[in-house]
Amino acid sequence: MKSPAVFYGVLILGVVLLGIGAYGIWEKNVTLHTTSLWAFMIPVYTFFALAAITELPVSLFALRLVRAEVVEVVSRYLIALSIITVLPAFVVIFADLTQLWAFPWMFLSFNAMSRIAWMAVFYIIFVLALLVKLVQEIRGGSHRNAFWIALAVLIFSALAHLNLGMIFGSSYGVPAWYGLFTGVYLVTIGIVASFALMPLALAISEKIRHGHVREEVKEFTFAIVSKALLILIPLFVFLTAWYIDTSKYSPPVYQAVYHMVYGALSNYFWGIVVVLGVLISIVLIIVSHLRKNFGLLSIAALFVLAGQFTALTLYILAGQIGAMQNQLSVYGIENYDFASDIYEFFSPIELSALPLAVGLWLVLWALAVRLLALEKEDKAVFIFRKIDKKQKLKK
Amino acid sequence: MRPVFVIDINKCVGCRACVAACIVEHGQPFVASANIAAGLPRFTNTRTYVSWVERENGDRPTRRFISHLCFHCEKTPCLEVCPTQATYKTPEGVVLVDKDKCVGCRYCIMACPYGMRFMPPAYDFLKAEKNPVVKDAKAGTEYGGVMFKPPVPNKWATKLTAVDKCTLCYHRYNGDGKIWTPACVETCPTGSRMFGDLDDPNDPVADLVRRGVARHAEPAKGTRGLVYYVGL
Repeated sequence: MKSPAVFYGVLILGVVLLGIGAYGIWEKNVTLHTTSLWAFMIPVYTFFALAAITELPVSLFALRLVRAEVVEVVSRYLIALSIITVLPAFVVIFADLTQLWAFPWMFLSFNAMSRIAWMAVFYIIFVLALLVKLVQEIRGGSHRNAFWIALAVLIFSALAHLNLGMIFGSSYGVPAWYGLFTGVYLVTIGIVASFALMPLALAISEKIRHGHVREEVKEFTFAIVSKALLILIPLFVFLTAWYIDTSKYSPPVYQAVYHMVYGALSNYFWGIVVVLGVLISIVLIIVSHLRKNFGLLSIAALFVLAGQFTALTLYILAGQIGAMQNQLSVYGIENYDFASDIYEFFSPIELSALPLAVGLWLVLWALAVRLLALEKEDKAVFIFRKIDKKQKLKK
Repeated sequence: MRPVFVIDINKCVGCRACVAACIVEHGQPFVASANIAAGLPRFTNTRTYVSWVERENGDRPTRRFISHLCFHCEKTPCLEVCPTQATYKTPEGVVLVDKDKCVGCRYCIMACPYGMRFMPPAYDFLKAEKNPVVKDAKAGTEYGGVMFKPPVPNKWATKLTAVDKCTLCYHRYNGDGKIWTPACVETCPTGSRMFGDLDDPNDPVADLVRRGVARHAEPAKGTRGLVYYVGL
């Protein structure tokens, strides 16, 4: 398929999804729809924010922690991907707020004890650090500068993502989330999702720029991505099993796990998280790695993304159900039907956040690939690609 | 002056006059529900509610009614997490929400260990507004779109787009150091809900706390607060 067709195809798909999502958000504001629960918009923005760790191989390589020159081929793409992936998260957060006009108070009346306040600060600094890194990559410069900038990106990435995880981990009213485990678990989901996102995003960018996936890019995915996924997915399985096993020590956590593993949410847990996101994915990754089949790896990556997103969504929903069931149990009420709460969580208005975020991501990524100087041969004006008119006419 | 709120559940008959008084006092949207679970403890939809517990008692099952409201905790998790400091505490220890600073992130709802903070069910209210019976009862919709206009306009009244919670009717306090009376306490027909001043040596309500008859509901959570229970 010719690259302009892919570009316009991705762009149009993105715009259509964006339109669907935007309509849902408009409907939300007109009807004043909101929930006391943290509903579906929350896992959408959390997932996109957590999955913005795609610059990790670049930072690790710059810090000489990873010896893999194959990273250099895609380094600018991975940094741009980090920036592009975090932007839809901000949009969805703003859509979720019921009084967005009060947002400036977050800085005018900053609460140093509030992790949400720090989330705003850390993510802004993280994005700025990524922009600096991207400029540095495009303009070149000394390895020493690259080292310090990479360190800054890594530090603020860790701060931003761990803090995001601990927003949930410090929620005293939801015991199933409370504790350091949630921070670790969410960051693990983020890293797995980031590595899964790389082959998908690179497939799109390679098709747009070159019409096919170059061998150097395939080399990167099989040298770094597939190996990373084969290590990280078992880690995710271990943490999930840990959560399920240790739930027996805490009634509200047990309630949450019961709903997730045995109750109304169990089909999604076993079907999407375990079978699709872990078992089938691992088999496909191994086969694709042995056969060096990029297409198969991309399919596996898509399954991994679906599994990780579902795991995050169920963790957030089940935790709140667990808190409510536990409170009901204190008053002697067991087996309360949470169908209305689950409906509230997955209401059509809440679900519109997903096409909004995915659509925006597709649009921004397609435009970034087309307009930014993301390859070493590209001539740059600041970070934008200087398109040679003669080359354009030749094509 | 140190306010203290005592609930004697032995006296509560479950009439819910307190809930109605609170709704009218603060201009909350009120949507009647056919769902019998509407009064059960969960993330609340009103500033105060009354739940019940049925217990076997020989051959006579009994039902005990328990009033719930914000505990105005001494160690305040909701205040700690609010990113804009919309949630704040007065010198008397009453926890309030500045509706103009609240962004609606609902982090405080997640932080509250007792589920006593909520977003007003605006969507339900707007749907109910289309019901002919509800329409006839509508009054004062200019104020934030609520069904009832608060008799005393105040900055802590219900706002449909901001988090809501019990304010102990702080708008009734005129700053003179003398204890006031919340709407629910004023309305309660059996005297189950009581409000006193811990600094007043002659206050009978405070005396229940000083003698240890009235205690915090869930001391293990460590938040303490202004609300005590007798008979829990």
